[in-house]
Amino acid sequence: MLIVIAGAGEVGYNLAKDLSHNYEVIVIESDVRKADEVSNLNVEVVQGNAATLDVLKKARVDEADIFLAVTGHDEVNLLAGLAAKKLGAKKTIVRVGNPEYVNKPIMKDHPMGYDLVICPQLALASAMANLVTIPGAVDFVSFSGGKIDMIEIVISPNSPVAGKRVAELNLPENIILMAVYRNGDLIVPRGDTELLEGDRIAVVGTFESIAKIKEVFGDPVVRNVVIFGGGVVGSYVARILDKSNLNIKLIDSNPEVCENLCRFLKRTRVIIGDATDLDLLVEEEVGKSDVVIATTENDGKNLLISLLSKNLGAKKAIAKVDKGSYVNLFEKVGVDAALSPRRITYAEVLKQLRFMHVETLAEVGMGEAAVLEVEVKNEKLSGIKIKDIELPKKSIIGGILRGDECLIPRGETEIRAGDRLLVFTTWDQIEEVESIFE
Amino acid sequence: MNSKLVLNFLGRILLYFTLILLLPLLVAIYYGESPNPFIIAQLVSIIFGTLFMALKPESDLLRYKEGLAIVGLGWLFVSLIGSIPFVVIGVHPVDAFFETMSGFTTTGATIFDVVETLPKSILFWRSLTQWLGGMGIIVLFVAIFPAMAKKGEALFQAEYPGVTLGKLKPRVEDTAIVLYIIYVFYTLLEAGILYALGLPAFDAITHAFTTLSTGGFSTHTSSIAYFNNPLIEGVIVFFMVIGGTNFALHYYLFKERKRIYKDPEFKTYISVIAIATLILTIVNLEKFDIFNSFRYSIFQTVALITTTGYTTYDFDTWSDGAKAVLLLLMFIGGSSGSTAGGIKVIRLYLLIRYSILQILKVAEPRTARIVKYGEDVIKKDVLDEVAAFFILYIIIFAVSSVLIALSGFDMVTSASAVAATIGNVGPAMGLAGAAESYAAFPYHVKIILAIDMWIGRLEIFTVLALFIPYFWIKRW
Repeated sequence: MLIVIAGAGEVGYNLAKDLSHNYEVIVIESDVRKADEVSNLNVEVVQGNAATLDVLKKARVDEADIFLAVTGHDEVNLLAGLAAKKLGAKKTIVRVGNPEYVNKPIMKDHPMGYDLVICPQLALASAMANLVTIPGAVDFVSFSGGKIDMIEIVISPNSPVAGKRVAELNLPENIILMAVYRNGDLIVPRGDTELLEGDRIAVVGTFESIAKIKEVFGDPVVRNVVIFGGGVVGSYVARILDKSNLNIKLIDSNPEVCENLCRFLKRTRVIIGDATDLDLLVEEEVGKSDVVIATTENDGKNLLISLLSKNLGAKKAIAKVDKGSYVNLFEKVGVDAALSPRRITYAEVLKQLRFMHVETLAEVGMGEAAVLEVEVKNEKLSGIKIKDIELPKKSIIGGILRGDECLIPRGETEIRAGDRLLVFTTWDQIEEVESIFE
Repeated sequence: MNSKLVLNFLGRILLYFTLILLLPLLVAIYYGESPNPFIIAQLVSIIFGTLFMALKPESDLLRYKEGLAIVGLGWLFVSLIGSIPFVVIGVHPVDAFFETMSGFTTTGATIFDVVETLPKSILFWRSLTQWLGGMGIIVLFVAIFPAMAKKGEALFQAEYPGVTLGKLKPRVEDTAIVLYIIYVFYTLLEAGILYALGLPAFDAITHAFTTLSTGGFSTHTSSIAYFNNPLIEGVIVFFMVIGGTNFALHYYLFKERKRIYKDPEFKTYISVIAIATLILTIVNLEKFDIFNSFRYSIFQTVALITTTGYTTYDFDTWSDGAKAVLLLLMFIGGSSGSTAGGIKVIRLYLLIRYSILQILKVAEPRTARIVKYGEDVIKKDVLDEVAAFFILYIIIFAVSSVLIALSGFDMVTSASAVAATIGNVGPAMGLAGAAESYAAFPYHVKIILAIDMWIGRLEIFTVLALFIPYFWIKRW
């Protein structure tokens, strides 16, 4: 499979790096120095403007199975995407930063011919909004087009489940505790597995039942949410949450931005002020908030806001981080969930790249492991018990989705053709896992 | 809303208030009258004060909304406690509340048809409530008690009359102290002059209290007309003008005198007084000779524009033209930062400039224009607030007038009584005229008028903010 990536920024570079293990990758980059950098990877590099036909032809876009436009310029991406489609690329995926071009996070079959348009800012915003309502949740992924959700939860010291055995959790119906990550290890939870403080657990369930797990993981009441920054991300989060019954405050220092926000936010109180002004935070009782979401343009400011708010007593801080490499740092110093629009783009693109044979793919933990949703197409596997399936070493079948049901896989469970399996695995084994079920 | 903190502060205010009640108590003892009215008031004040103080707030978060609540409710509570002495001597509670509210808000509307029969200590108490209300009770506590000064800014703002343009002193407690020093100085000066002119010490002091505070309670039923002395009237006119001037200007009198002549509000204020006096003098020539016409006209002009409400002549008997001018003066009121009520000269000044600007804007939409006050550029949000104030003032005036007219009173009485109470003037026209009292109104009308006084003295926003349920209900 030939993949052409236009743009070797953070997203482009990492995609090129990961995809080059298994596929033929050609990267188009206009900046000479960046082009040199990428050429160190196992990829071919074409130096030039991705929106010109000559460069695209040179990059063999006409033969490409997938064309990815992820340069820093929306217009270049859009134009390159159109040109690539014209030249004969089978699939085109385009990243667009400005929400004026798309009004939802991910748009399939765009009328202009793109197979997929991703707006990382909006994708980030909806991911943030999803994290708001579940205590300890740090990541939220939907499988099977939203029928099944997976939540990654960090067990905090005061969580009611800390120290409990899995069997004592009383998980609601259709909910499975799929995996526990402890100190970088993947543990398959059994009834007697004890959950410890600091564990990251992955819980899978149907959309309706996920709402009930809040009861298990304690202090479920999220009432007060403060959003810092009224930019693209902040206002989109506010728009999503505005429909709920939460008390929301949005703080931005620009009066014009604030007045503009008032036009479409009905329940949200928009406050004009500097987010790093401690007096303002005290006055607006940020300390009494359940969740603070820092979405300003500046990574440092977002970190500061998150830490200030947590210091004042806010229960959970979610921060936007533009630089993907800061995510771990943020989470180490006390931000509960740091989300990077670039990482989200990266993950989305990876997910979408697999839409031909793998349904969804999500990153869990600190990026060491992945969850793969695969459909059992291999007729030979139908009726075989799970314990008899030979999987690579570090891979586990974490859940079986049959129809609308979510089954707990046991050794004796038989799988059927058409089942969707959630498989926990590592990046290098993805191909192998896929090949088993094909 | 941090309700516990609000109550805690209210408790503090009530406890401080008991100290103030010692003054009329001493007067009662001096004149050999019963001290019971004040002792009972003190006891009630201490009980409620201690109860409220016992509530320990979870946080010391005092924002502008808590400031508004403390000041707004503080005035209500103080007026309720302050009315206890009247109730003890046999006045109906609604009347007593009306009288006290009228005192603290420096309105000067009274429900006593005859005041000479009242005990001296009660008369002193009436005058003292006006003197305290003039500069502000909360400002006094901010000046004296460090516990209040810590969070003084929000409280000061909620009680400050008019448009704030800069600070006198960096620290709010210093500002409060400066204001009170000026206030005490002028009060002593006037009392001294009146005493020198032959008034008894008691009359000199009580009238100094109610002149500087632009209150208007007199110890005589016929008000200043009782003295029938042009010289005394002249002195009182002078001090009424002082009371209706921005106290910041008095401060600059010793610092940089130029600012006073340059102050647009002061110039406008003096011009309005001069023009109104001239018109009234001419109109009143049909009734008096030129000396008396000037004498009564200037006194009534100043007494009404400064919202004092003293009378030297029953202006209800004047021509309709003269009365129309006087009614207008009630609306204008004194300067910002003064003890006077009304809409305030500065607001009208800014509103007129702003309105002219709008006319020019229609004609020349592309020309950039701003509203200036002297050297200062007035920001849009200040103008918005001034415009909102004016609109609310008119709405409250209209609604209250209609309510009173619906209770069976004529147009002149209804409209002028509301104008006189919301403007903290005192005497109105018609049934509530200068020679009458408010005693004849039914109780519900008295309550409406007392609320109007409260709203007027705290400049509308502070009181109306109390009635926004969202501030109280919403926990976050």
